[in-house]
Amino acid sequence: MTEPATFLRIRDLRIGFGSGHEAVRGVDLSAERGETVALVGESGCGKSLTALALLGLLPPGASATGSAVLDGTELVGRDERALRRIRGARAGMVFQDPMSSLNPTTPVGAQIAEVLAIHTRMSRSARRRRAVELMESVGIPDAAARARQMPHQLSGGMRQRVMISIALAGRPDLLIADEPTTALDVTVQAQVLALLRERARDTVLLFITHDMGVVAEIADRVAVMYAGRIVETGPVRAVLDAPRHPYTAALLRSVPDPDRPVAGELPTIPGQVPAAGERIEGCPFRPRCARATDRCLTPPDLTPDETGGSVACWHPHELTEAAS
Amino acid sequence: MTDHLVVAEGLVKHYPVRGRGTLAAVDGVDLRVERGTTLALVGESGCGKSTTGRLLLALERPDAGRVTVAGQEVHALGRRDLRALRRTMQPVFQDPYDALNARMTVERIVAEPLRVHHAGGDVPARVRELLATVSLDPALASRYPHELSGGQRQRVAIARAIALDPAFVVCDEPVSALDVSVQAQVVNLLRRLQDERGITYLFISHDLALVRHLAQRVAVMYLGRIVEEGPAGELFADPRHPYTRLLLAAAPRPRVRDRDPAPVAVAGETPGALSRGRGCAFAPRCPLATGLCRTDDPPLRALPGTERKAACHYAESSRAGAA
Ligand SMILES: Nc1ncnc2c1ncn2[C@@H]1O[C@H](COP(=O)(O)OP(=O)(O)O)[C@@H](O)[C@H]1O
Ligand SMILES: Nc1ncnc2c1ncn2[C@@H]1O[C@H](COP(=O)(O)OP(=O)(O)O)[C@@H](O)[C@H]1O
Ligand code: SF4
Ligand code: SF4
Ligand SMILES: [Mg+2]
Ligand SMILES: [Mg+2]
Repeated sequence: MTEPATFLRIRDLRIGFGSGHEAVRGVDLSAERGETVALVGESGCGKSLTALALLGLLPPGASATGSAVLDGTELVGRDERALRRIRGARAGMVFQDPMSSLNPTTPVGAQIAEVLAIHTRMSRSARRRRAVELMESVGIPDAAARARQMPHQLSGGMRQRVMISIALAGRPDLLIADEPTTALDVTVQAQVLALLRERARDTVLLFITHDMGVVAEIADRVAVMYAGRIVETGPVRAVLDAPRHPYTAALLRSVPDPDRPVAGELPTIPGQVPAAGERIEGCPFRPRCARATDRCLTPPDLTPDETGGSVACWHPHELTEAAS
Repeated sequence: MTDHLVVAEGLVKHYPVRGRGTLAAVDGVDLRVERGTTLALVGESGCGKSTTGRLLLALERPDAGRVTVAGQEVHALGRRDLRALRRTMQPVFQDPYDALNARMTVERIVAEPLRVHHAGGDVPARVRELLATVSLDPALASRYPHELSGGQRQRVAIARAIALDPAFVVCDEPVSALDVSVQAQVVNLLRRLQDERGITYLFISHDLALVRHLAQRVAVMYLGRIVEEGPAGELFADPRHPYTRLLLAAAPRPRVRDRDPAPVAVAGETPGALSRGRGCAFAPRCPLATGLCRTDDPPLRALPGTERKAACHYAESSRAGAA
């Protein structure tokens, strides 16, 4: 290899459906151990599919090509047995709705212990003790008593903590969190974000969200997705303070800030995200972009700039330009 | 004198809880909404916001207290008068998909209130006009809800809500399920409708940034009670109740702040409304709680020199302000 090894490196990941519709259209992304990368974009842009492909959990009918290498292990195109081993030992996932992944009729402690049975050779009683310890470690008060409760007896925040403890039980190298706080109150969201920040110090955390406010709270780096492609990446401060892609800039402007009320109307992005399967010539953002020119009829590639970021745009905002 | 379209006094609503008595979902709430303005109702889930909204719309009966809309005591009205009043009060809910009849076309959904209330006139023309008002492509009139995006569905729900020209609309988390960019469009629409038609809103939300943008006044609710109320600008600039400060600190901002220390007071979750003990209900989570707080329940009271009310023993103290 000529390039330095990167802990997680995704190359030209494409996800298509039988109909010929390509929902993820060539994603490149890399991350170092301990880094939190936020994958951000509007619904339907391909965030969840990208994450699911890394774990071999794509929905029926979807197939992935390209490559994703996690510390030497290829994740794309593996058979189910290999994938199960990877999911157990190397990668964990937390979803928006913990109820969809928890068994409603089994006490939560027993569910954590079950996961430990897959990863470890602990005895039954040791697993049960460890499950309670894990629950304590994710900030669940009164963990011994909570361990005996059913998922529906816990609050949404507590359930998400249980999911996080399950995802972390195998000490994964990669933790994927897909909108894990979208359904929670802001107060509980702040707690769960703090927990993830603390517990993801040794893993790659791929954090999926549509909320730039959450990005600001959790990410080291940001990757902005639009219509199945990454259109901008960079260090979180650089991207949020001085977005270069017109879509990133527009997305940021449309988020109201409780400390900085705007007079009059909230800025919006004209038009809509392209419908599934809709073909757009050139840059996919072109129909909604105020900076578009004839040059944009050729699709721009994601090109590195001097800030440590990359942008896929022929006419990005200048680094010095206040994108407002 | 200020013209309050909606006045709620001493609202109480209990729900039975299996084997454990009753839960005070709304526990003595007073609210006033000035005509043509927006009052935001904020707080964590389960604190009683939606129940309050339903009581104001007379979709439920309170166990105590009363609601007056345009001078009429809502829950004292006979069936026919209530029906007439209902025309002037409409809800818009979080999930437009649940709220819209899946087997009706957009056109029929919007026409339905006109037909039910025998609004008369040229219904199809009126429907076209309503769809235009909410900036919905007329080509979508023959579609079904599942064929629309979330933002389009919410526009349909809003078109239906304003079909009978209501004076009062309760928006219960109307944009929480939408993408931010679509949220901004819907919020702009709600504001435009208010400007054009003088609609009075109760805007229920947990998004303080949106609330700041939309509302003239804000009421903060905790475990069934209002704990702080006042003009939006004042309340955001200088929150007086520790719970308001907690909500504000926890609200995400689209820019990188110093992450350490994390917002200090976010420890703990809201307890069940079943367990209101003596003293201040917020005391178990409050960084400022004292012995007094654990024995004496602070009433909601006007704060001298402000237009604000707060239910905290230390609402004036510099100690509270510095937290
Ligand atoms: N099971 C599926 N069948 C067909 N198309 C799908 C399926 N799941 C997702 N898609 C397509 O892939 C696109 C991206 O979906 P997804 O990754 O879930 O987006 P996001 O997580 O960014 O909201 C969607 O717009 C949709 O067109
Ligand atoms: N129809 C009902 N029956 C029983 N309990 C209810 C009912 N509606 C609401 N509650 C309870 O009342 C409390 C307040 O609920 P709600 O008004 O929906 O709160 P919010 O809208 O602030 O989330 C919650 O504890 C909820 O479980
Ligand atoms: S390439 Fe052109 S159309 Fe695309 S974002 Fe840049 S300026 Fe806009
Ligand atoms: S009364 Fe005491 S416990 Fe309640 S909010 Fe005020 S300081 Fe906190
Ligand atoms: Mg998704
Ligand atoms: Mg509610």
